[in-house]
Amino acid sequence: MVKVKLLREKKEMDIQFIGKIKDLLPQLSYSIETAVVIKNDVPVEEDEEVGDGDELKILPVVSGG
Amino acid sequence: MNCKCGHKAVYFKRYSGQHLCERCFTRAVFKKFKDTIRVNGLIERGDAIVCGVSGGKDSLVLLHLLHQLQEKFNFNLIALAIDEGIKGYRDESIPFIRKACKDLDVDLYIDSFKEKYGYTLDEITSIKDRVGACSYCGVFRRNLLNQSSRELGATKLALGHNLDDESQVILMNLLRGDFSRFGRTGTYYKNLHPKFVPRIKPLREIPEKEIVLYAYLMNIDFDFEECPYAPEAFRGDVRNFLNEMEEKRPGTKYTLLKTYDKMFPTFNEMLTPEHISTCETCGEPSISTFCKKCEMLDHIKKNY
Repeated sequence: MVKVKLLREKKEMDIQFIGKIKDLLPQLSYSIETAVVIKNDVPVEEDEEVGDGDELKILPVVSGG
Repeated sequence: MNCKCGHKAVYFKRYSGQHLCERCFTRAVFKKFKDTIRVNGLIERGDAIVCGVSGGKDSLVLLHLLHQLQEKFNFNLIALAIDEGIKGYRDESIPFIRKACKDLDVDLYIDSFKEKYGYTLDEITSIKDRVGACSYCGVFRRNLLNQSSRELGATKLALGHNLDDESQVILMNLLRGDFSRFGRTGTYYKNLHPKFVPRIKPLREIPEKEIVLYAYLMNIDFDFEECPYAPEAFRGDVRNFLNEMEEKRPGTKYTLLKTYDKMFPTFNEMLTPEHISTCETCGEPSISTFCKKCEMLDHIKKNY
């Protein structure tokens, strides 16, 4: 299980996923242009692999206005 | 992937093919900011810079970068926040502004629509027969930022517009056929009226995503919320389109901005009014007898 924290939505969820971040983002209604991803407290590139036991934070790119 | 310095990359700059570690990334952002200022002559030694701050990522990153630049360059820096009176939004972002200014030891001034114009934005939007909230907010905020920064003795007003904001506006004006707005925003401004404080946008070449990452890496706390009155539907569509294009063709946003910049001097020459007079009611610069803000206020008073 991957633990995902959506910072804008203030939501936490566990997701069954093994693969690259860029392939996970669309499942969360984000894309590489609209999210900054922090894996286990370190920002990572979109090709980073995630899997069991990882914790992700999703920072929305758009805010303010 | 690793950065060229050997450390693990935290960011892939798709438009240039570079993988950057934390140190190289934060340096690259500072360099882009500094180069934008240098190439366009945005700040001179001895300037008094007022930085407009909202508590969001862009303006707080701008404040941090300006503060950092002060180490290399002698200029004054003051922060100015405008409280539009948006319950549940602006009241929650002001603590972020206070914290950033305290951390950096930058003086902060807060002005409000209520104090200056007599109404909060929430009150304004309660009237019947009104235009969109963003129209009032835009006119009042621009007016107040200019007037307050002038009263604070500013020689420049620095704003946190990023590459995404700028490329969206260019495309929106083009798609709307709003030709008159071309020539208004660019790398430089003509000084049209002594009461106008020149506005500078040192982040206009930095993508929004890089600003979020920079804020995270530099431990800059900011408000994640989006303004409840915001996303204009049209801007949302243009933003989605540009993001899809950028994903397929990295560099789209930057190319759009640079193309516009090449055309800007012509637009600016062609579309800038010869003469800007003064509003008969408030004395602020205006192209007609009464400025837009005073026209709007008059309408609000009659309908409130």
